[in-house]
Amino acid sequence: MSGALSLGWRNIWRNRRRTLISMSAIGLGLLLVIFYSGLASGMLGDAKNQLDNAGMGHVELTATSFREKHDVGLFMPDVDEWRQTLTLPPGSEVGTRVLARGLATSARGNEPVQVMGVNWNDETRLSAHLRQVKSGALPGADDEHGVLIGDTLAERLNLKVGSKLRLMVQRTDAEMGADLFRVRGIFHSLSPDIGRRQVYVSQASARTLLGLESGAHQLIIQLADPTQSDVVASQIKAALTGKPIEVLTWGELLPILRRMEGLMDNVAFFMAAFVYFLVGLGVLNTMLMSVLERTREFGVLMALGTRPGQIVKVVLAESFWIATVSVVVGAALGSWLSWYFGHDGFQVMRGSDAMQLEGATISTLVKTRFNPKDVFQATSLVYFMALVVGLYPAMRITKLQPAEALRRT
Amino acid sequence: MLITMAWRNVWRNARRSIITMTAMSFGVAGIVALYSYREAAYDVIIRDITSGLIGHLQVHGLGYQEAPGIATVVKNPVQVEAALHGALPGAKSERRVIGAGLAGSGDRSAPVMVLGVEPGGTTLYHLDKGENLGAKGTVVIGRELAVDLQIAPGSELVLVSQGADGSVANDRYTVAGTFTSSSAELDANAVVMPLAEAQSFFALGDGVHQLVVKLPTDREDLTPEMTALRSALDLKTLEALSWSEMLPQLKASLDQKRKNGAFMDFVIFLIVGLGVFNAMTMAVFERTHELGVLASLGTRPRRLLGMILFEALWQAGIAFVVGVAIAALILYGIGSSDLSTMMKGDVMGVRMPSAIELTLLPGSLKGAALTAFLTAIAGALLPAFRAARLRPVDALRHT
Repeated sequence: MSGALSLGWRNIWRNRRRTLISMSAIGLGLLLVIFYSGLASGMLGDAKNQLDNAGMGHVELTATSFREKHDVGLFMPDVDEWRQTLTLPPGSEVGTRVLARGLATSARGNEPVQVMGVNWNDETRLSAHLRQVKSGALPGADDEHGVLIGDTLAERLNLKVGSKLRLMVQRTDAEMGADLFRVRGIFHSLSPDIGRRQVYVSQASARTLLGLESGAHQLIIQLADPTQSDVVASQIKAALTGKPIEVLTWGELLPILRRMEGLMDNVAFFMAAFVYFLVGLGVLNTMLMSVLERTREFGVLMALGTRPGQIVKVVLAESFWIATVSVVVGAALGSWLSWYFGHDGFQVMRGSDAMQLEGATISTLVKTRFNPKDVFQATSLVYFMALVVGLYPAMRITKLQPAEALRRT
Repeated sequence: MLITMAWRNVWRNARRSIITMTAMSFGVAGIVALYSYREAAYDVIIRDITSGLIGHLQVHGLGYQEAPGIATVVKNPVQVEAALHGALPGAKSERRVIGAGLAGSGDRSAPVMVLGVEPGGTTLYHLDKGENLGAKGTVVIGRELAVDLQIAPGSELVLVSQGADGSVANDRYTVAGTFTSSSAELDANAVVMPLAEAQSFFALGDGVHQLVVKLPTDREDLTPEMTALRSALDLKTLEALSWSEMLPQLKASLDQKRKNGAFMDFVIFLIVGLGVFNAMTMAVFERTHELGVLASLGTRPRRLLGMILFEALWQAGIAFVVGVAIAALILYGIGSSDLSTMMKGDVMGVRMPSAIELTLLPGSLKGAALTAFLTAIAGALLPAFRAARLRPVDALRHT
């Protein structure tokens, strides 16, 4: 076999330019496929790992059916007691929120908003935009009338730090509750939706506004390792049996991410298949040509007693070497591209920071992710293609009669 | 003569030519099918936008787009509409009031978007259940909002908000029916009432927030209309915006996807071109001897060059026809596509269309033809030059 390999290696350099052209076609195809996979997994990986861009949890707890009914009366009254008993993996961030949908009113107009009653320390770790306060600052811990709003809302309602803002919500006793707040800070979020809708007040003032004595509507858990979500969720479910509480993971909260993953895998596969099909046809032509022009030479070999099987081996060795050189170069360049854009990111869409897909915030500055599995898959496809395009010309040679082959010029 | 010879040359090594043409025709098929699919989807998306909440273009009080204040209105919609129809013959305009409020029913409440529309003639929504706007004090609401508030046609709805003059707006309405629309946001948040009621609810007088204009055109580029309209309006108190200016994100995303498509075309071009290059180089090399004969018989280098180029162009021509046929087979074979199951909810302000009729769009042929023929020329140019530069004496000696 090693004889066939070294013969094959020498053969491919007999027509150097032709071989180099085939290799660049294969290498280019491989590079593209690897880069695309890196982009796709980077895009979704970011969305998954950085749920804090949207202030979401990998695991979220609410009172049963709060998510469908949005009823402020469905809250978890003793959440602050039992949250201490939960055992979570190290590095987890936890926080509770009092939630109410309401109307924000300024002298300029009205905007529907989501009032978030939070504990400032916890929330700063959970939501990236609370670390992005553009002007002003977070309200102080005992600031009962301080509110933090997004830049989009500030623009739409013409609010500045120090402006007055009225929040109106439905209270737990079904009456309308309203209170006057003062804007202490304005944040910027990647997601225009969050910048327009979310309004943060301290948990104590949210409770007063809603007429809630204790408790909260939502408990958010962000994990250092998102793949642990399902495990953590089932542990919590077991620990809280009997309580009317719903435990959901990000996969259940954002089914779009799972669907997108499936879609992108399919797209990557079809793209790879299409590219290699086109590349393969070009290489097939070259291989056919290079084999057929050597008909006479193979005839001589066979007349000297070389078995057809050995000739097939040599031809396959040639396509193996062409594939290998292309793979080394193509994979190296593709991986380098993925690594390069993994650092600074690749702008997939100009004009906005993020895309909103069913509540998932996907940054348009995608940090590509180098994924050895993708490279391995793309490479196997190249070898498969090389086998197919090598086999067809090789099989034609085996059908030759040496005497006839010798007669060809 | 030259062209016929090139045609015969194509079939001298039929297997090689067929392989090259297969690669080219699949390249063409890919370009045509992707272009047609993308543009068909865009057509539906743009039609949804222009017939729905946004329209082709809108006229507002100055500064409304940037910061939609409740008191930023078009004060004299009748005159403005007259000017508008003068500048844009055939356009249809609709007056709308848009505000936010808190809707309550029983012990349920939700923040909502309050929309005042001219009853009849609006293409904003399709009635789902119950009856349309009509009787005094009635509203229709989005289907998801009805689920959220747990109300059905016939129920009472209380709306609370703040009027343009700073007064508290508060009124009681009867829900006549529920609707669905081309926007998930409307379905989940909107309370629609007759224009006059919305004007009195928000204390706007005759003012409206938006004049939503529909044009008798499907063109994507509205620059001429915008220019005509802007010159007819008093831009000190009014602003006019096209849908792409109101949804810059969506427009950017459509343009970006087109650019990605063009990049894909280029990649196909490059890969197929390398194949053509190799094949044509071989064809010229094989025929060195006979090219030498032609040259020594007095055939001009220019004609030899032309003959090789035509050989590649013939292949591109066949590949183009076959490729378009493959694309047609794929497109009509699939028939229609549903994007709404992929992306529930709004993507950048619009709901993904549920039924896209796939057809072969003539617009796709230009790009595909350009790619096919450019590929052929680019791939054959170098070998053709070599053929033209052959010295007859050397060529004849070549076996």
